[in-house]
Amino acid sequence: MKPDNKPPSKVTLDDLFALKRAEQPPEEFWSDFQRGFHVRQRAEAIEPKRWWFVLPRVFAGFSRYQMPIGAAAVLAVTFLSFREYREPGFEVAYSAPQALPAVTEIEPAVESVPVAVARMPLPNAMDFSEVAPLGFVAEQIETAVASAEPSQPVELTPMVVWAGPSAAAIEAVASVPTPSERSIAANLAAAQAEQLQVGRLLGEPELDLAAAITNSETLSEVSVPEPTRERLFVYQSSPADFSVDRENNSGRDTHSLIANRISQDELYDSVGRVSAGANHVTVKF
Amino acid sequence: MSVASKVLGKTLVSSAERRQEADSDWAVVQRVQNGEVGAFDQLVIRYRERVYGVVYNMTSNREDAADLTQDAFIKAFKSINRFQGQSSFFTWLYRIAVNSALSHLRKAKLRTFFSFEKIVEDDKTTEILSQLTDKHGADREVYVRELQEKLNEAMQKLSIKHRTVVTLFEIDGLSHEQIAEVAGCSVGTVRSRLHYAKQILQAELQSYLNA
Repeated sequence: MKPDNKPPSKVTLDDLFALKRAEQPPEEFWSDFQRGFHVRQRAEAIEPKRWWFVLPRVFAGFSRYQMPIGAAAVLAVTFLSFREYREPGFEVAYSAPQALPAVTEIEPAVESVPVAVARMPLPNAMDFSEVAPLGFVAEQIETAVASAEPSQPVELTPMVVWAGPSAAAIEAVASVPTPSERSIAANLAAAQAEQLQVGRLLGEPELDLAAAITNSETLSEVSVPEPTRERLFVYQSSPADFSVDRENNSGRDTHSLIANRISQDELYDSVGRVSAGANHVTVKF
Repeated sequence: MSVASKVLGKTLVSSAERRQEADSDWAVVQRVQNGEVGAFDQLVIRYRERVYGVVYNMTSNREDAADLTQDAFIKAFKSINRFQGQSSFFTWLYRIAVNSALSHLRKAKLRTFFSFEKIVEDDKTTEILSQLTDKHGADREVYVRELQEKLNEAMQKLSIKHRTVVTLFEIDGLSHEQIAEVAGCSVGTVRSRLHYAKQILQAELQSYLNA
C-alpha cells in the first residue's frame, strides 16, 4: 500500500495527554535537583525548631477532650469578662451633688475665694528631691492668695502623682459586698494613695485614712480638728485667714495656722469631687 | 519508575504493585524515622519524577515545578515523624505536593508564564507527532513547539481543581479513589470534574483532534 493511500489515523485527546506526559526534564536536571535538595535538607536540619512546632505533639493526647476543653475555655472567658465588667476598679470618679454650697456661700463675709487647691504636677520619674517642701508650698499659696484681687477667686487644684493603690487597698475594695461600698472604698483607696504621696512630699509619716475616717465621730460631734484632717485639707483657706494668721503668728508654722482655721464641717461640705486618673488623683473642693 | 508498568502509553500501576510499593515505602520511612536520614534519598529518587510531572503539568512552568517539587520533599522530610502509615507514603507525598502547587497557583494567579520541557520522544509520541505534522504539513520542530504551547494554554484554561484531577488521572495515572484521597474530595466529585475538564479540553484542542 502506498503511503498516500494509508487511511488517516485519528489523533485523540489521550494522544495529546501522552505528549504532555512525555514532557520531561533532561537527566542532568535530576543531579542538580538532588544536590539542591541535599543543601536544603541540611539547612532545615540545622535550623532550630520553633517552640510552636512542638505544640501539635504536646496536645496530640488532648484531641479526645477538645469539646470539654473548648467549652471550659469559653465559660472561663465569659466569667472573667462578666466579673471584670462588674468590678468598679480604681478608675472611678465620684461626683458629689453639684448643689453643694461653695465656700463663698458658707462664709459670705469672705470675699470670693471659693477654692483652695494646690496644683503640684510631678514628673513621672517621681523625683521627690525636686519637690518643694511644705513650707515652700505654703508660702507660695500664701503669696498667691495675698496678691490676688479680693474679687478674683484663686483656683489651685491639688494634683498629686498617682502611684496606684496598695495591695491592701485593693484587697479592701474587693472584700466589700455592695457596689456602692466598693465605690466608696475605691475612692478611699485613691485618697489614701494620694495622702501617701503628699506625705512623702511633705516628709510626714504615713496616715491610715480609712481608720481615721471610720473611727471618727459624726460631723456634729467633731469639736477638735484631728491631725489627719488637718493634713488632708492643709491647703484650704482664704486670703483673709492668711492675713490674720500672718499678723498673729506667734511661733507656730504656717501649716498649723492654716489647718487650725478650717472647721471640720466646712471641709466636709466643700468636697466636690474626687477623681482618679491614670497616674494621679484629683480632689476638688 | 521502576515498579510502574506502562500500559497503552499511560502510567498505570496495578494494585498488587501499589501494595508492594507501599510496603517498601513504609520500610524506608521507618528507617528515616529511626534516624537514618540518608534513607530518605531512596524515596526522593523513587518519586521525584512523578511529583515533578504532577506539579509541572499543574503550573506549566518548569522553574516553578522544580522549586515546588523540592519544597514538597523538604516538607515531607520535616514531617516524616508524624507519618503514621495510615495511608500510603506516595498518597501522603502527593497530597503535600498538590497542596504546595495549589497554594502557589493561588498566590501567583496574575503572573503566570509558561516554560516547557522538551518532549522526550519514544515510539508512541513519535507516531503521534508524525500524524500531526503529516496532516498539517508543517515544520516538525516549529509545530511541536506550537502544539506544546496550545496544550499548556488549554490546561491553564481549566480551573485549578479541574486541572489537578486531569493531571493526576490522565497524566500520572492515579485511580479515582487515589485522586479523591489526594484531593480530599469524593470519588463522584473526581469523576464529575474529570468529565467536565475533558469536555473543555476537547473543545479547546479541536483543531488537533479532527480526523
